[in-house]
Amino acid sequence: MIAGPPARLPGLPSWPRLLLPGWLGLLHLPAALSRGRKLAVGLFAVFGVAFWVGIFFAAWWFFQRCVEVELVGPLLVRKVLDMTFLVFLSVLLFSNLIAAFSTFFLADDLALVMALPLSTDSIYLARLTDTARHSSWMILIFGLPIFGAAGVVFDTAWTYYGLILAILPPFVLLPAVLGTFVTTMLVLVFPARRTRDLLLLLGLIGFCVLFVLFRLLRPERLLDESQFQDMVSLLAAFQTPQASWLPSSWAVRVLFPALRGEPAAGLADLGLLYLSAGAVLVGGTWAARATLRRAYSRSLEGSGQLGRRGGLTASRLAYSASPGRELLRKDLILFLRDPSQWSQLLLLLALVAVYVLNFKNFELLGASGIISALGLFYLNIGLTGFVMAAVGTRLIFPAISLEGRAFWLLQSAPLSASTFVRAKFQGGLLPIFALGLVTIAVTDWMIGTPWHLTVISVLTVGGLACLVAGMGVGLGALFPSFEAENATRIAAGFGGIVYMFLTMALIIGVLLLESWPVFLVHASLDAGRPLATRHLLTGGLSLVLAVAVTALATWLPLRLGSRSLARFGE
Amino acid sequence: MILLEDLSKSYGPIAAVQRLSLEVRPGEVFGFLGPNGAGKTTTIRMMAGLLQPSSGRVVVGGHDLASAPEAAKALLGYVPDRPFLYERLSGRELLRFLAGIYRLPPDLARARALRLLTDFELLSRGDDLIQSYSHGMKQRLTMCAALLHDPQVLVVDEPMVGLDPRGARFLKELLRRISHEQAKTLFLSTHSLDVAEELCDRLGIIHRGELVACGTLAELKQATGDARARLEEVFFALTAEGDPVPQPPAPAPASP
Repeated sequence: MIAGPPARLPGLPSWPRLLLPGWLGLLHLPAALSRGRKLAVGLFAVFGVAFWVGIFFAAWWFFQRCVEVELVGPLLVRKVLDMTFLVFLSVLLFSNLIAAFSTFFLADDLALVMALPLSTDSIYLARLTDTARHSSWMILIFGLPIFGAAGVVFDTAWTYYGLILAILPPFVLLPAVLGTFVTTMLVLVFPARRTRDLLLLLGLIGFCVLFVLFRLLRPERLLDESQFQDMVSLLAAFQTPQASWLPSSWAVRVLFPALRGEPAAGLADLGLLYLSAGAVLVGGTWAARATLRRAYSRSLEGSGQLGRRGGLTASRLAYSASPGRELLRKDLILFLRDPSQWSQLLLLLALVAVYVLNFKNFELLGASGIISALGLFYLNIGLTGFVMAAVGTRLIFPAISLEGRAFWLLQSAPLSASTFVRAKFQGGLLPIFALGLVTIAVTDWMIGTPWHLTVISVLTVGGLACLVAGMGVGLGALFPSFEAENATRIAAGFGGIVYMFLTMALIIGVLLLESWPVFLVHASLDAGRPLATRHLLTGGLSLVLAVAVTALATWLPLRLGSRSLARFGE
Repeated sequence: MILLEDLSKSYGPIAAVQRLSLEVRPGEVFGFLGPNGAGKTTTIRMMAGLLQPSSGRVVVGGHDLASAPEAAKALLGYVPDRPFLYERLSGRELLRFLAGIYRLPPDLARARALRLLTDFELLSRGDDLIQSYSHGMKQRLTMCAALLHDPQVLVVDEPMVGLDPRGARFLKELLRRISHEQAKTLFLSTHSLDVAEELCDRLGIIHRGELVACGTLAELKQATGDARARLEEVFFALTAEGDPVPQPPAPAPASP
């Protein structure tokens, strides 16, 4: 018998019904969470709201400064909006490329969905909605407070806020369709898992490039009244692509007239956004009919083709009958073989390079007398500490959770939790110390720090490296997430944020305690006089406290983390 | 060799295992049977040190798992129901890593890994990443990992899940060899009543978290009052919910 076209069965699920499981899962989330997790989610929400409010006020302050500039003020705002939308569009494209892999080719429920008697259109539309939802949260968190702040500064009518909401659906949909299309084409050519690694790497490089570009703009110049005119000329000279074919330009052409009280002037561009989104959606659906099922089949074929181990391995290191050393060796091999991990090295290097390149600006602050030499010295250590904490969030905090579902191998082995935690600490300490040491040595050299302050800064950074590694491994053990897919997701979770804030607070605390004895030593060397007994006592006490806080902030989290892991499964 | 004493585990208000006590003698093959959700995997995870009991204790080779976990775990090899491994290591690298964790001397580690990979027909794929292995290969590699340190006790959770008939026969032969030739103590949780009947010296049946029967097959038959009954009938009799075994529904009549 020859099969005819699929019949339109009554009650056949359509694409909105395919979204139901995801939405129902969200609805049931509160009931599924334990009391501890609910508390964590609550705290997380508080952090989120505080962050949102912070962005709103920063943007409000910034736009306020812009409009105060005579004549070119509004143009400056437009330029900033152009840049903001362009960055959002680029990031949305990248995140959609990666999100489409998970939703279209790697999700656990795909085997079930693909086997259902559903049209390709329904599956495509449902997964596209999921893809757009996964990648568009960033606009809601970062974009809305920025656009909202612009509206408040211009004291605009409610139609402006309505237009913000109106441009979001097509602006989110366009990169989602395009990202899904590119992903599908890539899967048709390469195995799905390998392509995802490639895209993660490309995404990171793209992020680094954007970050460096942003740093080269030096927005901190806006803080300096005397340099504001330079910044205006810089922004004017900065050639943000103004191509009228970019949806980011259409979005600005909708919002900017509304900001100035002429919302009707942007309606044609709003229409253009919706028409393009509609056309692209039709095109994407049509392309999916021809390619989606073939690409899904290809992704299943591809997943088994990763066989041989890579040449770049640590497996040639000598075997040691020591659990700690073998754990380190295993972690190194896994790190080198996982592009989602080692590509973070690029981010790390970009971060350090940006910091070092920009440090010359701080030297200017010192030369102009705004900040003292000692103040500059402290600023340098503090910022190096923050760089170490940021890198620790990505590299050290996830170390325990990255054992993943294979953690049972260690749980059932005769390996104490403290040995395990100690090995992770040693593995994290070395790279973070090397990073801090190189950063502080280079920056000290750049600004010609005196030798005694250089020695103090190196010793301080050594202590802070212990603190950063101890806090990272300890809190990583207290907030493990063995089900998480990758290090980025682990670092972005509740524990990662707690780690980041606590570590930064502790770094500030240690530096404050250390400042008094360092000031005394510096003053005594400058004056060529020995320290008075009273100063020796107070300075010594403060130094002992700084060392004690560093030691405690290193030891205590490791101890608590070990205990928590030993009780894991209670 | 294995002693479970008043072992209980609760997840909030749900009691997964309740006051379970049993003893497995050295060299014995003990089969642990029960319906889905009866508490088999929870019990086994407590024995392997993955879950902490709410009350009671696990003793392996005279070592209390709570007070001397490292000594107890050194005697034990554990094979879970789902073989999650480090996907980006090769099979050989995984065994080398675990040899270090178990502190095996280098020569012994190399020789054991080679022998196990050969015995389990994984030698030709030993340098491939685990992520390229089939389910059966991962299961065999997990068995290699459990046997690497030559444990006195092997705890295996659902050994036959996902294996093809050839793999299942291979594993059955292997378990028989381990128990008979190497005189190791085996604790097997299984749904396969044939495997239990064929391999096990004694059986324990757990139902709703409680051990409802324990003994040799003959003793269990006696307990149900039917000496000629097969294990399947004994199992259903001991785990009955009050209703007879549910029957599949009759097929719907074909539409005209």
